[in-house]
Amino acid sequence: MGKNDKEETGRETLLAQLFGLLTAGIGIIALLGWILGIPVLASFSSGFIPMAPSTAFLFISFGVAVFLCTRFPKTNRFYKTGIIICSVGTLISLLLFFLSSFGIRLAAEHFGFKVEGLIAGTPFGNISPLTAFCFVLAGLSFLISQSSSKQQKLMSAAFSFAFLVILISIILLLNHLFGTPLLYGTQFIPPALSTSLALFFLGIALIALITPKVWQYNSETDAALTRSSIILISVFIVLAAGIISAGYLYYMQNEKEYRLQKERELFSVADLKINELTRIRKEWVADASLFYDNSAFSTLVDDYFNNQKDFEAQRQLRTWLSHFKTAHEYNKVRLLDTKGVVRFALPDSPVPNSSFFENKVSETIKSGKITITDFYRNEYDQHIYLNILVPILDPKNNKRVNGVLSLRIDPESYLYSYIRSWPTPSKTSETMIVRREGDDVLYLNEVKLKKNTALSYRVSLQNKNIAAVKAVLGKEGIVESIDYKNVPVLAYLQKIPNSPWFIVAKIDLAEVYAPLRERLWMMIFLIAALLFGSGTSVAVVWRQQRARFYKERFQSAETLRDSYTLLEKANEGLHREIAERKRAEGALVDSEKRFRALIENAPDGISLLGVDGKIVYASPSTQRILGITPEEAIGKDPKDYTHPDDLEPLLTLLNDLLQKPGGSFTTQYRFRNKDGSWRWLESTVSNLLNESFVEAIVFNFRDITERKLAEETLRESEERFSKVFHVSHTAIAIATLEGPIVDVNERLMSLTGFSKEEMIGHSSFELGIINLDARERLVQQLRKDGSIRDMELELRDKYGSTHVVLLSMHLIELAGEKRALTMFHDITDRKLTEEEIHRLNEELEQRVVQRTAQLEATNKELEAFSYSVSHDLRGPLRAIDGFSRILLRDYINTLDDEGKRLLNIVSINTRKMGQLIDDILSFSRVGRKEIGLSEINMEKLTKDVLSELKSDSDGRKIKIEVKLLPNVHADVSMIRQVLVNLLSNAIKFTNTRAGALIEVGCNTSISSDKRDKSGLVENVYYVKDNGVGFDMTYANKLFGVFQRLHGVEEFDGTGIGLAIVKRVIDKHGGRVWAEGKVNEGAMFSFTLPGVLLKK
Amino acid sequence: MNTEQIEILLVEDNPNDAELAIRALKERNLANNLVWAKDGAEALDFIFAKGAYAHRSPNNHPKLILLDLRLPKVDGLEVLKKIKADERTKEIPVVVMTSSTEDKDIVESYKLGVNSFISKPVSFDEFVKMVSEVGLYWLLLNRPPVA
Repeated sequence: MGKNDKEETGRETLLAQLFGLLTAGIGIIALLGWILGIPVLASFSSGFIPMAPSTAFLFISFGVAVFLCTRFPKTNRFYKTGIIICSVGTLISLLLFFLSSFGIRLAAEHFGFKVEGLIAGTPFGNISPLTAFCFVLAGLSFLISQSSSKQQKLMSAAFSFAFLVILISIILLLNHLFGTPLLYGTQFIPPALSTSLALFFLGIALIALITPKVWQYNSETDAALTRSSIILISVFIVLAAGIISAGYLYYMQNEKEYRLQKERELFSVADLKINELTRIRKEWVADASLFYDNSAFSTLVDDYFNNQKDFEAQRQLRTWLSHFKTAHEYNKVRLLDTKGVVRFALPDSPVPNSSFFENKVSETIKSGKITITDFYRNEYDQHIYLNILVPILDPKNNKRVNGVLSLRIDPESYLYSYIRSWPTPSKTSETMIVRREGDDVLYLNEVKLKKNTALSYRVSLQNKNIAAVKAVLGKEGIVESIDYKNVPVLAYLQKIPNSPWFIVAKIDLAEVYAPLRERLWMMIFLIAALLFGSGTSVAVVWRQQRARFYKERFQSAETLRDSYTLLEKANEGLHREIAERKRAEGALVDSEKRFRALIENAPDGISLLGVDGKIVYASPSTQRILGITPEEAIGKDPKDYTHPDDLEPLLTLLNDLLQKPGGSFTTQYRFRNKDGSWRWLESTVSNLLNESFVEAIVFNFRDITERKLAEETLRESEERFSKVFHVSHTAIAIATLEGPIVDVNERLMSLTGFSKEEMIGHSSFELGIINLDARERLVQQLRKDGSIRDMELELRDKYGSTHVVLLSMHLIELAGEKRALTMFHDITDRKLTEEEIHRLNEELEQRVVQRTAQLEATNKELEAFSYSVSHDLRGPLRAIDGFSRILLRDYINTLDDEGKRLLNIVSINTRKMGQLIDDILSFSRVGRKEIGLSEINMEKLTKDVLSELKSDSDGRKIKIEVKLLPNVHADVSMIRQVLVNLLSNAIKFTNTRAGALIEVGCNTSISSDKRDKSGLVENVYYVKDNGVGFDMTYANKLFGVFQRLHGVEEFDGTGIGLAIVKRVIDKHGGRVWAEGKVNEGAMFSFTLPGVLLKK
Repeated sequence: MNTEQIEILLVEDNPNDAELAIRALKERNLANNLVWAKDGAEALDFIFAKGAYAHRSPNNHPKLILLDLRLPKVDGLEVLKKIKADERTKEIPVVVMTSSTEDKDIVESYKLGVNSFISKPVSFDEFVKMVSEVGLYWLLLNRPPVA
């Protein structure tokens, strides 16, 4: 069936290939037509427009693409080329569709071929929008069909596209077939016949290609269905052919009848007019004859001509002719003499005679015969006239012409309107009369759809297709040709007897077919509907057939399955029966063989013990297990080989067994190997003494020495672990992750107060040791991390006391199960101690705070005291100084030198004391002052201070270097004081130096302050000098109040400056220190906490 | 007490300081018409012609008041406040002369409208120099507003 399926697919592929090639072939033929200049190749029929070169090209592309893609496998590059060609073609089509829809016609589409003109009033040479649309559909359809998509919907869409292409092409073909091609005569370019055919082929190719994808054949169904499908398709084709041909024939019949009717109409109208025209002409001749050879008239004219003064003759003539003119509706009546001079005219008009007229007159005079002139135009008044010229014969001499009577007819008055008139309402029907003039046809009357044709519109005889030309060239009767507008018409042509005129009665074919075309559309839709209907009914039948087929299939499959089940059951019974019978028959030998083989190949050793307790059989495995060959074993007593320690229990068991025929037991004992070593055996011993074929005690044994050893080791290790577990000082519990406790140790029991029995099988939260939430959290973390370490937790024991424990948990695996191993360290006591320490610490801190407050208060008091003391000391001091001064000044003469000296000492000391007091005051002021923080520009401040201190330097040459100093947050007046003190010190202690050098700068270093553990970077400001320096031994004394390292004689000062500096820096929370060396200079550094920086 | 114009009112409780000040002023011939009030109350009595000084014309103002701050009875700042609060007396120049170097005293004094604040130095030379300069300035160089 699979093979069949392949053939089916192959057949369709072949079909697609064939139609692809056909499509391309039509394109190639059309293109050849263009190349070779044989347009019929591109149009198939001269009445139809040819396929545009671009269309031809697209057909070739699509045809080739279809061919390539069906001929080659998907991996082949030809296949890919095909896809690319098709994609590009589709895009081009889409572009062309839009262009042509908007009436844009690219010259590029002509491929350089000469394309011009209209065929049957229809433009060509460019692709039709409809064709372009079909190409887009076909392209999409093809591309979808080639996509690997399994989506049935997509494939259905592709199928619908292809189907639509076929439908459109069929309609187009039908249109061509019915001779009224779609879109002909409109501003759109219609698809050519060849195009329609090629589109049809392309559609077929696509359908052939897509069908198997839409209805993927179930291989099972094909063979049976294909035949009926073919029949159905044939039925459909026959039906379709029938419908189409019936429709065609009906339409053709209709058309023929209709046309015949129209032809008849044309003919009758034309005939009517010819008759009338002939009659008119005859009338004219009759009128002329009235005067021709009329002796009365001739005499009268003769009289008049010969004697101008013959008024009577003139009057008679006038009366006669005037009557005649009115009665016969002549436009003008003239009397001319042989010289052509108008002797008499009615009405008399000043318009001169046209030259044509004069020529005709002289011709008439010469011939002496009645002449009916053709239509002519008087060049003076631009009117068209006809003239009947009657020669007036000499009454005396019949051969001589005396003059000419001219009867002028104005065709406008009757003739033209008569010619133009049409008995039925029609837009395009009309009659016209023409005559030949040289190599042209001249239109004699005004035509409906063209202006100023009368006597001025000429068509060359070369244009043989034009109805008028045909008429002039002698064609008569109904013809199909084109008229002066190049529109296809149905015309009736005939020469008007006895005249140079030809009548052309015509009607536009479009008008003829207009009602027919409506009917055609109805026909086509009817046919399409019928086709669709028949197609649907065929499809329905096909579907039903399929359904029935599947149903039958399904039913037969059901039946088959049922019978199969039955069969199987029967079979089973049979098998059972056979097996039973076999057993019943007792194929003893086979059985024996089988069982022997089983025994001999079994990994376990098997031995049989006779009633006498001796071995009667030993399986080959015995040798492997015990080193004893079966032969050696026979006749041996196993008791001799059993370990003495194990013999007793074994014998007891054996004795018991002997009492129980058919019974068995399993035991373990040691047995001596041939090499003397003891092997642990596990034996299953069965009493089969009563079994007729065995009659023995059966030992089924295996060596379990290794296992025994492993068990022993395991047991030992377990024992060890168990010991550790139980005696461990750490409380341990093993529980499942869900909760129930599996094992606990002594310590846990003593910790929680629960006994082992109380705990095992219960979870810790059930026991109230821990709450559920906490346990859940623990298990969650355990699952996540695998272990928990040293988590502090509160447990509640059996009696409700709380224990603080450090808990560690591990996820372990015991006997293949996940278990939580939990260890607890009771740290309740530690915790209590910690809390006690904490409490004590707090107390201590509290005390420190209190003490500090007390201290501070005392300090303050002291401060206030020292302040007021200093302050109050100033008064008496001033008095001492003042009055000793007054003594020295006012009583200088009464004092001796010693007195003066002593007074001076008093004075100096009071001043010194004053200085000390001032210093104490300022020092204490620093202590009492509140700090107001602000950002200080240290560089600027330093420079300010330096410029203030300039006066202190007494014009000494000091090199002062101020390095980069970062800003700081501090109390500006205090820091200013610090700088003043440090810098004035530096200036002071360098005054013995010739090249005094002072440097102010800032270093950045990692904080060495123990209070600050952040490891931050701090700024260390320093003031360095190369002055006298100091001994580092006394460095700690530098910052004390009134501490001095130099004598007053060396350097003045009270020693308060650095104390103030220290006080300020301390107040800011910074540090200050000094480094120095005697005679080498000193460096004072300080930090301020506000300048800590992140590293 | 005569009715002639008192030029300086010295308010000082410490007789030594007072003597030194008067001496210093005398050296510059500025102490000819000087009244010494030994406490704040006396000073106020003098200025506003009350108590012991009730016979005085209240419009006979001293040209300069040298005022100590630490005074018995009425504190110097209180005296200053009263002087500067009274329309009649507020134009009298008041120079605080004190041994205090307290910032708050200085600030308070200036708030109350003191004309100068001077710390009395311990050194007599400087004291003399200072007192004489103050007297010179306020009595001779300064031009009071025309009444």
